[in-house]
Amino acid sequence: MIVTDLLAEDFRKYEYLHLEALPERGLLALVGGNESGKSSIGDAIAFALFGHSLAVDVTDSGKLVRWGSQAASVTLSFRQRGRHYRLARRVDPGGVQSASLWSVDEGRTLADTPVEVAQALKGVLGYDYPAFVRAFYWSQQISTDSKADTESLRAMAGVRAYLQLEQQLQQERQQETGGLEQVQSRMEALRQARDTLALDRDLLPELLDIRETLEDRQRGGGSLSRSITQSARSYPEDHATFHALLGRLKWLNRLAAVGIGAFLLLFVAGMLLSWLPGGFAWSGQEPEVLIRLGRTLLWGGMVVALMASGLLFWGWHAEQRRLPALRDRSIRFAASLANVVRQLGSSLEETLGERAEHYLVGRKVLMPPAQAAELDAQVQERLRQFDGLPERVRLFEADPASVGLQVPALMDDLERHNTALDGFVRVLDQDVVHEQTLVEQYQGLNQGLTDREAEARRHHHTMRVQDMALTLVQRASEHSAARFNSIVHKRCQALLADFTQAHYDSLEINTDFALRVLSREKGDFLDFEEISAGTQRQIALAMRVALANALAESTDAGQQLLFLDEPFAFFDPERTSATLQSLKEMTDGRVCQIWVTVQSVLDGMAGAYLVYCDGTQPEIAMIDDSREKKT
Amino acid sequence: MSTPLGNMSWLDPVRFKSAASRRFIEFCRQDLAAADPRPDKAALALYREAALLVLERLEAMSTPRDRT
Repeated sequence: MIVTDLLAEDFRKYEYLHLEALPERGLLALVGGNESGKSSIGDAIAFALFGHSLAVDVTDSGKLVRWGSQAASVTLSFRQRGRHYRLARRVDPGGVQSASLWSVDEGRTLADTPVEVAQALKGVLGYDYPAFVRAFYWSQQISTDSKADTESLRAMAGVRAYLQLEQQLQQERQQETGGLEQVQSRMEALRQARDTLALDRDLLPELLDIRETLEDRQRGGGSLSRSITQSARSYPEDHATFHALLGRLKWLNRLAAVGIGAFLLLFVAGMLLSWLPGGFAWSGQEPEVLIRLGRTLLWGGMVVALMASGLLFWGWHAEQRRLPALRDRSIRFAASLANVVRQLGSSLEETLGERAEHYLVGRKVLMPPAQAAELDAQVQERLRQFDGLPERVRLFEADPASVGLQVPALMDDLERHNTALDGFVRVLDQDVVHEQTLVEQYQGLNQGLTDREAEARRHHHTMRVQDMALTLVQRASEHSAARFNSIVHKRCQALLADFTQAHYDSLEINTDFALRVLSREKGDFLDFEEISAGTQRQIALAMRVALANALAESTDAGQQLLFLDEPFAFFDPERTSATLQSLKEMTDGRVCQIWVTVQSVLDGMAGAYLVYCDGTQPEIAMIDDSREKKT
Repeated sequence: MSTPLGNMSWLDPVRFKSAASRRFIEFCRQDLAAADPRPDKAALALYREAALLVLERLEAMSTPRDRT
């Protein structure tokens, strides 16, 4: 990009500034004292292109408006790759901008808003603001501290941001390590707290099993108690009914047997008289009488047989109808009694198992085995009084009065047994609640531990990512440094020699990303910080010019301007003159329009174009050898 | 943007504004292209996460002036 015309109105200290017919190739020296407005010309170019200057951000661009004016405007005409463009930008004191880009050759507007202009300009120029200030615009004002040149060169090499980031990532890595150590410490505390609980994971299920078994037994005992009480109440009546029924049946059986005997007797007699009346001639009766008598006896036998059958049927019917219900009740009663006797006679240890027995003995719920055996023997002895009772009850052989005495005694034993079970269950309830609390605490600690483990995994992952990021940053830094060294080696050696009067030949960034310069005098590399501030500035300027050439070539930007604001502040006259000579020679290449601001006309400026700045409209003229000609 | 190393759209320079980010993206592209042996899926995921961390930090570090 070559500037061909610059028109600024109410911009900074200029009410009106118009640089026209600017030479497209050569050195333009903007000459003037402090506050003369020479740097404002560079600001005007930067503002026209990007909406702000080096010192003023876009948001503060209203500060570029001349004091007391309504708005500042800059119109920049430039040539790029043989095409002519006109760029106009305006800003009011509030910082509100308008901009438009005009293609002179095509006679049309390319962009009409600041955003569109920024996009279009990137396409036209091939670079953006960061590249512009890094390569084509250099200002003394932003390079005043002693580290500025080092940082500037590192920025040119593209390693400054990486070095800053590396420090930041290392700090974050340390913080992450600290965070992980805290998490691990919390995990250890949680593990110790969990181990202190000494939770037996099998105990709670076992306690619940024991409690369920005891409750079942308790419920069974209660059910038996109710059943026996009810059966004992009905037993005397059932007993009486059963035996009464049994007596009647015996009588009926006897009657039926007599009837059957009578039937047989009458039948035989009747048959004999009917069929063999001659055999009874000795009786002196007529045979017809005997036959009639025989028949009568047969009929009588049949009547007796019918009556006996009726009695048998009646007895059978009575037995079928009433006895089964009585027998069922007696069987249930007997079974309940047998169950109670069996339950009272069996020990809890047999039902619950050895481990539960140990636990219950430990909890003093059960007696120790020796004591329990003694008690068991007493119980067995006591239960002997009930031997045979269930069987006798089942057969209704037990006397109701005896049952009435024995059953209450048995019920008392059962009640005591159930009361004891109730006490066991209450103890177990307390143990279950205690164990459940322990389990909840254990689960809470476990959950906390699981959460911390997940946190630790996140820390580990973050650390792996940070390690990888650090590796990438270091390798990217080495990559940038190697590329920078290559560019320096290819392009900057001659410029360095020219700008430093052949004192220094080369510059490189070493593996520690420190800048070193090759001293021709010492034949070795020196740390950049070791050399004088003036030489540092010369080297930085040489690098800037070299990078401007490199960027102009790499972006195929065609001819290119370079704006250097007060570049010779730390130069001695000899090096200034040599540098000016080198810059003038450089204008034969891609970077052909070089703007330089200086305090006064210097040796070595012959052949350059002079723009004398005194705050008014300057004119452009070429400086001749006499150095005296000013406009 | 599918490549032998998978979808590389996360290395699209348009998403990043600072010059340092764009330089780093260029480095990553060259680095991945030259990787031998080719990184496996897990290594590539770690590389991507680390590279995005670097890019995020570079973007945060850059001043408005460094941006387009």
